[in-house]
Amino acid sequence: MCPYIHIHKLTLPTYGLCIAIAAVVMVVYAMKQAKKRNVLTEDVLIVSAMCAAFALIGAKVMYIFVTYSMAELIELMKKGDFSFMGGSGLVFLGGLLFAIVGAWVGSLVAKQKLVVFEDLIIPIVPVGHAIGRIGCLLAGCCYGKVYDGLFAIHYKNINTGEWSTKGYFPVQPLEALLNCVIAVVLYRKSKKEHKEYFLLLDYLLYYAIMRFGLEFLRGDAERGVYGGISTSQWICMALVLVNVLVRVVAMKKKK
Amino acid sequence: MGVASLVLGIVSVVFAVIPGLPDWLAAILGIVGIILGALGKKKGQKNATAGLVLSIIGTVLGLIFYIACAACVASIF
Repeated sequence: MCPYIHIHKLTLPTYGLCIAIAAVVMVVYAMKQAKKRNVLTEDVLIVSAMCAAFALIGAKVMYIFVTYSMAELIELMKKGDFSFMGGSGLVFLGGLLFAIVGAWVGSLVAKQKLVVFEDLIIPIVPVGHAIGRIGCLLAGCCYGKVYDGLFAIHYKNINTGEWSTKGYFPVQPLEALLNCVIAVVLYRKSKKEHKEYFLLLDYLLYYAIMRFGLEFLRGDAERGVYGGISTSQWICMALVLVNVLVRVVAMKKKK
Repeated sequence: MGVASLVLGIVSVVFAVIPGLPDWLAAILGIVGIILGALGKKKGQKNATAGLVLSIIGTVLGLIFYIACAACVASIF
């Protein structure tokens, strides 16, 4: 749609710009919440930076494993071709799972309990994801299935200036909208008393259910389909299963 | 740690701004700079704030230029 914006002589990729804006919005929110809850903003920066590093690595690793087979990867590396590590292509689920590990490592570096950061960071994660999805829409990636109904999107080839003849389902704006709804629910929950790590569990559950459904509306080629459903849907099912197990164990402990 | 953060911040901004140098390295150096800067600031070290600011700028610029996705839509055509 609009993969680059031009400001005077400067050309900026809109996808990268959206990811950077999302990162800044998330950190600013977490730091504001930290001040309200008497948590050091330096500790929030350490955990956020560690989350960002792990999320980038996780999103790229997941993308590579979804897109290439092991044989293809070995072949490319033998040729000394490391172009698969290039900028385009990140998988959010990989980033999310690695970011949780990053938050744990960050809390160890900051010498704080991980749970301290739960209410500061979790409610804003869906907002960051929504901004990222707007970046996907502008870059023209993660597009929907062929569809000619209401709000169908036509993409423009930046090399030829030609518009796609077919329309595509607006799956990126829909995911952004649903993420905003999740953010509102999580924000309201974060203001109330809740069990430790249950805000994180709630987010993972809502996201997994939403993503599982949205995957049926996606039309981009690099899906990594196994047994009729995509890699992301397999991960979503595993997330829901683990979520339910943790809740059952927590309930039994309470009794 | 404050000095290390300042150095990493400067290097990350240079890597992010100069074309041809790897932007992903700018983002990684910037992130390490942010962690060291924040640790330095907690200990009240000089240069930590400057290192923190430069590392944040380097990370943001590195992210903007690293995550470009211009070719994604090509598969439609």
